[in-house]
Amino acid sequence: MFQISFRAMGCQMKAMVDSESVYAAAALREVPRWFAAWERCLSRFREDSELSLLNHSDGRWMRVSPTMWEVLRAALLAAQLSEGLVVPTVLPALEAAGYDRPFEELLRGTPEAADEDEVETREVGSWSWAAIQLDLKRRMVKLPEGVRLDLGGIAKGWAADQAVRRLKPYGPALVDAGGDIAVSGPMANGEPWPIGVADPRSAPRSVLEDPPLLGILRVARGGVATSGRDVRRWRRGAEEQHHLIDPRTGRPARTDVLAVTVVAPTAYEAEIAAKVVFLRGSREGVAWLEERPGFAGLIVRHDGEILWSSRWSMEPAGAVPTSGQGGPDGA
Amino acid sequence: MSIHGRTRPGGRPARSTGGLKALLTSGALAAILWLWVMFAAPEPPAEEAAEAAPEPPVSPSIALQLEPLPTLVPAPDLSRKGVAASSGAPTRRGKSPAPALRSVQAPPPPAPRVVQVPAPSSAKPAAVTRSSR
Repeated sequence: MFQISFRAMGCQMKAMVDSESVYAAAALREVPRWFAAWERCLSRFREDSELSLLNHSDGRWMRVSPTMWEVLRAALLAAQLSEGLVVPTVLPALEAAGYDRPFEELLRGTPEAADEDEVETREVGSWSWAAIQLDLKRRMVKLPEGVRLDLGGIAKGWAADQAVRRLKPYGPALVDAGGDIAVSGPMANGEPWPIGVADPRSAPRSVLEDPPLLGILRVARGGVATSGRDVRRWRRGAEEQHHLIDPRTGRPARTDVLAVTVVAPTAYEAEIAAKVVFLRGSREGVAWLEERPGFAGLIVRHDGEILWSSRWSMEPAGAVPTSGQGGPDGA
Repeated sequence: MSIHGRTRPGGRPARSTGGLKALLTSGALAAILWLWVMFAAPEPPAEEAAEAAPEPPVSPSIALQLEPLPTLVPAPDLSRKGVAASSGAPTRRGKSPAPALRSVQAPPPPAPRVVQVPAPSSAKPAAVTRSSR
């Protein structure tokens, strides 16, 4: 089995192919280049990215690359599937919350306290994702004036799916894009891939340190993603902020959820579902998962309680019972 | 009677010799004076003047206001990614940059390498899902 690890999109990445072939190793060597190309296109932190150009198009039609086209359509589909909870138009709200630079830089300096009136002004008109126009024949996009996009909500899951699809011809593959994981099929021995679920209540001190696990998932095909406010959080004035914006308020979501892990047919769908559950809160979130046959999820609440949906199955790590229906309080 | 002669016809030779001596003496003096002037205060050639310009005469009644010369190379924008000041106070994004002596680039990280790993297991899972970090 071959493996490559690297950093991209502000996260630690890993790709694996269960094969001894030199062609598999050669394909793995290409993976960092794929991610670098996607990052050059989709990053909001690069002034020369295609996304930055689109965000400065000032209401004009702009022809976009196939990558941008595909991710933008995936983002708009996510907005529809989530009924307006996971939308790409959150950039002004993210910046108003202080997330206006790469997260590593954000941690190095505390942003100044924001003027409340300024925050409100920047939020107005930021939720018009449905008004984004696409010209299907000419692959052109027109953003309404004042609308700016952040594709970070789905980009890593989408990239993990893409990379695993490209690696699949060389053997069973797994791609871990900063915790959003895609799997092409069972390992060469026919077994599903063992994937750990980190315990968000006890974060490791560094990205390279193995976190304590809640348990082990067995995933033969599809995607796994986790969303939470346990890592990407910072202080702005007296208030703690995080990166999961609730479009209904234009502010970081205030729910009882600390982190959510979802298993879904793809990493992209798992990422969307995890955010939906986070934004809906634990009880509504479990109910939302139960309505979708291909999905299963586990929720860790702020108070330390753990809930899971009926299709969730995980080998416990330690003494945490996380298999079966519902949670400790019968959700 | 000669109009142009220096000696009168029929004059004594002694007087004629004294006039010649006086003429030579005054000529020598003039030559010495000219040489002294030439060597005591020489006019420097243009190249030498450019290399070692003499100090300007001090004139307390004149005050020169020197404007800064325009720079041909603009100062680097320190708020841009990839440029860092090697000295000076820490700068903040969007603020006036501190003077930069030279820009320093971190060495590129080593290229990621493909490695062979054992098959994952429950004890060592293939990956761990967690919030993005």
